[in-house]
Amino acid sequence: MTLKIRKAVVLGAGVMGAQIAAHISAAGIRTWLLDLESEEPPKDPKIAKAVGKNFRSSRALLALEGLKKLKPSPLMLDSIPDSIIPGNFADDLSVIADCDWVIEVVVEKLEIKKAIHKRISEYKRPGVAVTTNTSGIPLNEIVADLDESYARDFFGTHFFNPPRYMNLLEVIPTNRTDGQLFAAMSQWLSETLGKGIVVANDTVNFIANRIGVLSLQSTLHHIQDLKINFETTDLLTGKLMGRPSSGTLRTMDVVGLDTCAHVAKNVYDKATDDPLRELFAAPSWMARLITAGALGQKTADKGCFSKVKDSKGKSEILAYRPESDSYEKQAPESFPWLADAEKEKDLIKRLTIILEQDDRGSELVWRILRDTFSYSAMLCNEIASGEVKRIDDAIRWGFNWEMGPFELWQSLGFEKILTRLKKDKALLPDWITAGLAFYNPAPGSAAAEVGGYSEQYHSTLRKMQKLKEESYKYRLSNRESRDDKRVVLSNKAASLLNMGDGVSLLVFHTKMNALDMDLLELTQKALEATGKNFDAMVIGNQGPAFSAGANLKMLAEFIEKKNWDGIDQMLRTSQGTLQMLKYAPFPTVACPHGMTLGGGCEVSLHTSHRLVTAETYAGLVEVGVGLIPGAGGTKELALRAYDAAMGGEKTDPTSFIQKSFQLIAMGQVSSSGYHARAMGLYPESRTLVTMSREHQLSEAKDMARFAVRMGYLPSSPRSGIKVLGDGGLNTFRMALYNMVQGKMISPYDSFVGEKVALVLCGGEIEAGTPVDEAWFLDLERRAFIELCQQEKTKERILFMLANGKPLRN
Amino acid sequence: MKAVYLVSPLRSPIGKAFKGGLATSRPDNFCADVVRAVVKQAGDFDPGLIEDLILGCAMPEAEQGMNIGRMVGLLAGLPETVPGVTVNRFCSSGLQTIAMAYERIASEQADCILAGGVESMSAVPMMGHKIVGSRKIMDTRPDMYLSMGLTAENVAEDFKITRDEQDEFSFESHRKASKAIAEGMFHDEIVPIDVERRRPGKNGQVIVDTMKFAMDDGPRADTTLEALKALRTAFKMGGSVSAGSSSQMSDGAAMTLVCSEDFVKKHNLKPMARFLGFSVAGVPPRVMGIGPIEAIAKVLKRTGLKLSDLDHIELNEAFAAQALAVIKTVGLDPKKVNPYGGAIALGHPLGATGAKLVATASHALKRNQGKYGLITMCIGTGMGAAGLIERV
Repeated sequence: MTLKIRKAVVLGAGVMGAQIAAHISAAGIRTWLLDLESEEPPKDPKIAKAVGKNFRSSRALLALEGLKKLKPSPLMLDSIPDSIIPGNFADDLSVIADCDWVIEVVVEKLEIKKAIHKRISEYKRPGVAVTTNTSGIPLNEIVADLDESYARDFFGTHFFNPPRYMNLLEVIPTNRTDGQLFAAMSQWLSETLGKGIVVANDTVNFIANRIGVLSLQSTLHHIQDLKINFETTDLLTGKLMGRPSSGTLRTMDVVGLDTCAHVAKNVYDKATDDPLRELFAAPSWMARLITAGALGQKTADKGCFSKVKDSKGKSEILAYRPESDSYEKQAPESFPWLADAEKEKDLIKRLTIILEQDDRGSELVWRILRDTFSYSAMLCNEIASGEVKRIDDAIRWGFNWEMGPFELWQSLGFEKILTRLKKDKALLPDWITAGLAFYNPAPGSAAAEVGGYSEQYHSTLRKMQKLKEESYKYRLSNRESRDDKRVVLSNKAASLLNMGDGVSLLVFHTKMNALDMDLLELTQKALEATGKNFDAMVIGNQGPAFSAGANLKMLAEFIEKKNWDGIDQMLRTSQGTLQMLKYAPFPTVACPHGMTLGGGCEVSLHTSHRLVTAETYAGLVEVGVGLIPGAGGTKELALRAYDAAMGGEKTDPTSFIQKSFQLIAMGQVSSSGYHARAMGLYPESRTLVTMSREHQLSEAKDMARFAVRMGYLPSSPRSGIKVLGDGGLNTFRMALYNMVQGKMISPYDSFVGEKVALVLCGGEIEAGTPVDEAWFLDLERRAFIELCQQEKTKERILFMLANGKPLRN
Repeated sequence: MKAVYLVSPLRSPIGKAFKGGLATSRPDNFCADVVRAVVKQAGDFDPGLIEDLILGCAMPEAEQGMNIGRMVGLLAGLPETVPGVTVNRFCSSGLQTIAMAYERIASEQADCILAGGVESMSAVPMMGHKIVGSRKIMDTRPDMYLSMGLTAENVAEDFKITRDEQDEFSFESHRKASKAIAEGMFHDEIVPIDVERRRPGKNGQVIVDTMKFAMDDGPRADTTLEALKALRTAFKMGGSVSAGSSSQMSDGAAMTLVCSEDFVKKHNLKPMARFLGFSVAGVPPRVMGIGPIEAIAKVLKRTGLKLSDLDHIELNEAFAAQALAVIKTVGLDPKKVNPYGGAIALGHPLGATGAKLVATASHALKRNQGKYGLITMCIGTGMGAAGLIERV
């Protein structure tokens, strides 16, 4: 069953409804957003003016307006609110008849939900999916009064907030839902909306919030008993345990203590037979904070922690002390093993170090794991129909843990953990027996990373069950890619893999995939090998970032030794490699995702094609460390501008050069893959955007194959580019001078800005002089080295290395 | 020196740049409308006797390039024998052209000249369409390129003009201008302009909307002191000059007939004022806004008049900061300065402003039966200009 979903309507323009509409619209679906009609124009004259004649739809209109103010931004492009059509329940419900998906996100009250579905049923075409987004109401009750044909098309969704950024989307069928439609919709939601889909049963809080909140509640319970303060708790339950660095209590502050309490209370009230029900009761201090209105981030940063300013105006974060009901200076406890554990990058080895200790810190980590493992096993049948992978996926995607509970248990040693669980008399279902494996191949193994899990344990069938092969997900090994049979070439920084069908894949695997000399060397070899043995090359990876830039540490060492020749050589290698990439006789497809900054961005500017994920934050940010893009990036943005001005032959290139100048001199970073295109970083013609991170590499391979089939024509190095020259440069100097006078930038910002302008304008030569591409590269190198020789650039680089953020000097 | 008279000084209404009444009109067209009105109102004489058309323009390029002085004369239907020239001294251009006409007539080199100014800031932005920096200027005198807003910041600092004073001055400008419009004070000096706008209709047909643009659209009667105080500074972090205390970008034109006594008598024309004298002065570019301080002193000295002789003063409000510095330093009587509001409310169509202020001052002197009027303004890159008129 293939679905054609081109139009969708979201009913309910609350914060969640509007954000869901924005996400669907970004995926290219024509989207309506409806809410209750307003009988009269808004009272505030400003709002009334903004709403205009369409005041009956002012709820939806204002919700769309509100999207612009939300942080983090739900909008992949600023234009998205304008592309969503606002409407109201009284006048516009008939659009439902025209839509291919109806999404109900109205308030969480059964009677209201029932009523709106009754009205939807008057318009909806049979066979069109209708979903309810909920986290608390039993689904069957919503459609209890509706006929079978409607109920067949109905199921639940549970988007995590914020829906753009949270990967998890739980989908919940009822016993009346049509299985074929449900499966087709699930696949569509995964591919088109790029979401991580987990099928959940209609049980209290579904999967992620049931298990995840148990883990939070267990933490709250045990820290009281073990007398561990809040800051130590967050230290122990954050990165050390493979969970978000905000730990437990800071995370609760971000979510809101009231929301956390509400979700926990939901289990306590409704799941009366829950095996660990008592843990879901809120501790007394939490109730006290909620009553006092200290709910966390949303209440002036006062909750489990409180952000205050000291007498000098410096902000400080104090921690709550339940025993004295007051905020105090943070005093995180230290443990003798802490430094060793923090140094260990591998989660399993790290947890093994921690669990071997015998103190309160180690005990807390164990008890949280113990409760989580025990609870996940006890509930697996009920909430996940016995499929362990559903629970692991939900927790990884919804709570951003590195590994789900079953994966973690197996990796830590099934028997070892089981023995300890039994010793603690932890509750366990009878299907947990000696010799069990939850997955095959083992989690974390190279085989699992490359091929995914082929089998999972099924706790109702009580045996291993084969998993469907997800052929469209091209997987890479995170650790030992040299062991991978697909590897053609490899060194410690990068590898070339054979993707099959004549396409090679260049993978970076340095820290944050930063560029260094080894990486460039392998890139050159990869280009040679691809030229000989393949038709096209993809550059991509599945790390946290496509590439966060160049290795600054290496550059800092050159600067320290005043080794300017060394820097020159490094730049020549970088520029030379990317020129090889640009003029390769075969198509090359870059796959930017996440951070694609500095040198990493320069790589993606030099390929013939790009397949960018929606969540791509790309930019040439070198000015932040007092440098300019020196691997050909400044040159590329100059060429782009002169091309747009038709080579400067008849059209004045100034405004195009200004745009390139802004991108580099202001270090602009895209807020999405779509934005990277719209802001002029990536050319529209050979850049596509995909919503799905998981499918990116496979789609890139298709894109490469397509380019080959269409008869790829490589370009050749450019000449005869008529530059703006000295006049253009001095126009930029004029603007920079005024910005310094207006105290908008520092004199050194201006100095760096002049270097950007120097390269973009083609140097201090006569306007209109024709130059070639190599001239820009020479200018880029000279300017880069001159900047390296400045004390203030050195300060910026050292500050960035020490603090991870730019210095304004 | 022969006496020189201004006959029928008139102006277009001033429209906000980009969104106001003249935003879609060409400057040569609406300036020609003003020329026709001036000639018509002046009286029954042969336009072939006009010996030159001198037109001020601060950014004479694109729609206002091609020697717009000559273009406007022909578009207005003046005989081909009437020549035309374009003159640029930035914001004083429209006063400069009247002064040039005055000089030729006073020295008996001509009897009748059309003079004034025009600017469409909608059509041509400040600094023009193509800006090309000079290496020599950047290396030796970058202050020549200092933005006008920053010069106002410098004046505010040097002359200790506070943010509050600027906001109060700007609020007053809007209040006075709105009141003047409500009381019909500009009615006699304004030439309503027929504006045409073309937009797409059905089936490829073009719809032409016509409207009469008859009154300045810059003043905001509903602005409040609080709103002005809340505006962010526009040019300098931690500075004091906001968009609200700066002159508005505008479109407009103003012209007058400048004649000798003989010409006036012979053709039975009714002059409104006599032009008494004109001065310009240079000041440091970093504080260009104080230009009027020097120019006013010069023109008073040359004409032998005293400050106390003045009944009406039109001081162009490039920025509240510089206007206040000039008022305080020269000792101008605030009650006589811009009684009908200034450029902060009414707008500043660069090259037209000088002639526009002459028109306003001439009509105000007549209305209030005053005697002497002063028209003065600061000029980018550090200059000031001042002209004196006497009601007749």
